[in-house]
Amino acid sequence: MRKLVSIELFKIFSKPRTYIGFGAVIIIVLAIEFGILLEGDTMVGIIIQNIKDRFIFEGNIINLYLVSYIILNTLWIHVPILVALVTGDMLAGEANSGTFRLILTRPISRVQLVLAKFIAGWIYAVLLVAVMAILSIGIGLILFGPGDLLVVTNKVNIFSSNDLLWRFAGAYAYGVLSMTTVAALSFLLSSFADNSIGPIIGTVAMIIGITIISTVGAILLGPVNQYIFTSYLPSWQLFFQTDSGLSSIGHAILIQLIYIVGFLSVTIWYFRKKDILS
Amino acid sequence: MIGYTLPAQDAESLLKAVGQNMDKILRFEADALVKVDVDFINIKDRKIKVRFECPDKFTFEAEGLALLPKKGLQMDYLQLLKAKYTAIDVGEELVDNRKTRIIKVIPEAEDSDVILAQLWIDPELSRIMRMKTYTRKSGSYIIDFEYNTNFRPLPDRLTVSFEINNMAFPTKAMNEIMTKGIQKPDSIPKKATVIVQYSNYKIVNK
Repeated sequence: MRKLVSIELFKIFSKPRTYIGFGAVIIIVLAIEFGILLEGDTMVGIIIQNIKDRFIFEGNIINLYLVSYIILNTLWIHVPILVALVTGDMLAGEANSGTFRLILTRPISRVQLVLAKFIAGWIYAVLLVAVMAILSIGIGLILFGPGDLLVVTNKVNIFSSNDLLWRFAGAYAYGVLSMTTVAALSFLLSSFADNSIGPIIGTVAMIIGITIISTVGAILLGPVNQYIFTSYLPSWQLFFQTDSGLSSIGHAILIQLIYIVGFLSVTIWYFRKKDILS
Repeated sequence: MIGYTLPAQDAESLLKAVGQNMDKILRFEADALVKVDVDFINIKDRKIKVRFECPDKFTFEAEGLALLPKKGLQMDYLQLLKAKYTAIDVGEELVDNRKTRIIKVIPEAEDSDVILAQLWIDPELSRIMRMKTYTRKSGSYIIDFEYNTNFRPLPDRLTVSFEINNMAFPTKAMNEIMTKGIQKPDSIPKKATVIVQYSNYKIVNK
């Protein structure tokens, strides 16, 4: 299995499109970091206007943690696109080039092949999130330095810097989990298709489409939304809430795991019957 | 409260005594523990270093990010007492078991942010025990002063109380919007209290 995964990883990293993902993450992180360096005061000023009328903020508000927190928001739309770019191609690409019949002449089962490809795709997603984390924190440290984190959601939460390491570790780990769900979805769509454009665009369209529908129709779809995986893509934010946040993380993780197992099971079931000869 | 009125001169001399008491200080330095109690703000107590230099220069040094009340921490009453004002003595009241005189101060400057201030002054020690201020820009706020000693004109504990509107949050937690729907912001003003506990005063008098 390990050899199969390394072969799949070799395939992934032989394709130029893989590096588009890493390049895009570098550009996104740099753009956000320098954007905040230039306009951060104005942006934060607007967000905390109400409190600034009554309070003086003493200390460094714009610091590496705030910037990293803002960059984490790209886990919602930007990073899923980059994940789908590679994982959407993993089965459909091989079907398109007709290499399945060659690969499967070797003594490996279809299930093993699907699992190896999925693990390789998952490693790519982990690397993407890891690069994002290392760059945000590294460049943030150089440009802004450390400090306490100000998070404005439905409340104003100010976290001490010594209380942040585990929260960011949790948020990035959750980011990996939610990107695994995205990878599993695009992997599923990839198993249905014979070229990679459909699964990549399909994954992105599904994420954006479901997100728009469930946000606009939040009142109508409220009960259903609780079970849709896109509702939990931004759930890394729960690590930065003080009250009900942490208790909801378990539910979010469970939903993501159910979808991952579900998508992967359907992929295996479908791929086992898939006609690879025509 | 006993409702009798003293001549304006008495009210003014009382305020003058408070001003003179504070004017003795050239500079001071103190540690402070700031506790913010607002319904929609979660922040742990913060340690800060407060430095004052005559006549009105304050600097704060915080460990991390601290929220300090805009009014009340920088001896705003000194500015008030140094400008022209009309003072009216409106009676007596017990504050923190000390007999105080209540003085209403109306600034004469048209552009003054303070519209009216009410001070509860301990006439024996010439110290402010409580202050309620009505301003144009920042609404009203009350400051309670607590002292551990009789010799120091600076408080050991300040409690600043005011009202603050809940924020019209521009960045709601997306997770909450998607699972619970968009909720209207609470428009009822919330009570805010900031307690500042001072310690390790180092005072240099003129």
